[in-house]
Amino acid sequence: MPHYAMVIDTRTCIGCTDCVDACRMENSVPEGLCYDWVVEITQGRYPELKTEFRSERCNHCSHATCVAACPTGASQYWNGSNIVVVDATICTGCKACIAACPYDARLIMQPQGYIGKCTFCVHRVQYGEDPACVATCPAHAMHFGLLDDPTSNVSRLLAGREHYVLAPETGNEPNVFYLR
Amino acid sequence: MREQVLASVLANPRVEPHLAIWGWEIATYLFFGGLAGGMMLCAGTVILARREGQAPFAAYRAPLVALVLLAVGMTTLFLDLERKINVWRFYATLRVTSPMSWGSWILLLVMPAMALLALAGLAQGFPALERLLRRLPLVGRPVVGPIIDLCVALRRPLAGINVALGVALGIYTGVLLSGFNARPFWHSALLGPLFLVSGLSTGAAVIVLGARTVEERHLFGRIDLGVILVEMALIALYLIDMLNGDALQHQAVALLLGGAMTGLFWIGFIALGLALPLLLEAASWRRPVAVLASLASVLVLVGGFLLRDVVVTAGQRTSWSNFHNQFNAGLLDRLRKDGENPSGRF
Repeated sequence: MPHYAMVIDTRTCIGCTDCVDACRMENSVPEGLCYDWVVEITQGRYPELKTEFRSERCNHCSHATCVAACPTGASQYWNGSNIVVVDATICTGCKACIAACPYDARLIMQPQGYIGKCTFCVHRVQYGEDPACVATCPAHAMHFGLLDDPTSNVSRLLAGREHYVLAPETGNEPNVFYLR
Repeated sequence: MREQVLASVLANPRVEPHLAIWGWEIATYLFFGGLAGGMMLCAGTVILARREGQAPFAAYRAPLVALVLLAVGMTTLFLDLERKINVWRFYATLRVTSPMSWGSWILLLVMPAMALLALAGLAQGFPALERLLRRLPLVGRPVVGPIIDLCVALRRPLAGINVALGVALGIYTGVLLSGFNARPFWHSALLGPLFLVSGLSTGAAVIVLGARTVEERHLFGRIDLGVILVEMALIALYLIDMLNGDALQHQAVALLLGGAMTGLFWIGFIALGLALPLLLEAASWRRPVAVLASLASVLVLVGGFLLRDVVVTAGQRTSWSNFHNQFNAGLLDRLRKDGENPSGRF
């Protein structure tokens, strides 16, 4: 079972939001909606402030609550991997998965009505390419690959650097990692 | 200090209110679902206890009334679907981990169970309708007639099935929401029993409003009084559970304790929808007063809807993540009024 992960280096990210634009172009995201977004976290006490940028998206959780909550099976894992996709031909737009996502990564596609989300660009990944956001990142802050392979880019980064995931307490086992 | 600000726009209801997950449609559906479940429970119990003489409306008419009201609820549920053409997909599978999947199958069982119990009470409850059905051209005598006779013969087992499915339906309306670990406000197992008891209370209120005899009205008024007390206890337990919980639960329950939903919850639901009907029903405990009973029932129905509305709305405002939106909502609204699409800019 291929275990894909995204590793984002918060030290090199400059918060340019190019990943958001690349995603919109690649996936024809309807105007006003987005599959990924950038958060700016400021910590400390003036004048000793520290700012970190974080490009966030669906975490393609190993235990995805959205897949469990879907009443029709439209929300599913792609080809036995951990990539969560939505089959628009089965989706009823009941929105249970939007309510079930602790990372608020899902949205209603307007005007079609099915649920949209980051797909890790499976249409590129299946041909060995990186997702559009990773390929575009001008700071080379984003990395994508297989966690099963210890020699992969992402495995080596995670082995060598301190990292964290968003809200691991959810029990969802998210697969987007942030390097400190 | 620690501040999380969005550097790009997040397509999310807490940033863009018009992207809300569930609105009045789901609150209405949960209200009618619970109400219909409560009426099934009342009707079935009356028949099983052989109290038809004491409660003719509950035994003979309530199943058909509940069927119509549930149909209204299911219509609003359908209206909420964003991709209505795929609605049949609910019945192409059973997803064991999805409460909504269980619910759609429960609804599929509830409708015929209610319809058969309604047919069993048709001769006493709606005699004109029964005669009409029996006289339908072609199907009336050979098909509909025998089915009605069979339902009448099997009314006690049917009543038992209705009691069981009524409980399942009532609990499901709460479990649908409490199954979401991602929404701290909903994530309490008490929502199932709370919605079941509230559904029973609203179901009894409909029977009080529909009853034609003083005795039946008085009986269900008294039942409702007891049910309201249980409902109040469950609300208290829910609040205690949340207040003793973690930071996420504290933030969630703060919506009811000083937050955005405080007025609607305490004045609308607790005071007008629970406490006032409780007092009115207590006042007519010995001597029934028709006006008081009707007023109490209407208040119970309004309160029952407000409970669903508050819970459905509040749940969506709680989450694991909390952002400050640097494009604040008021500012975005002003941009929109000037004819710009603010999300399109960033």
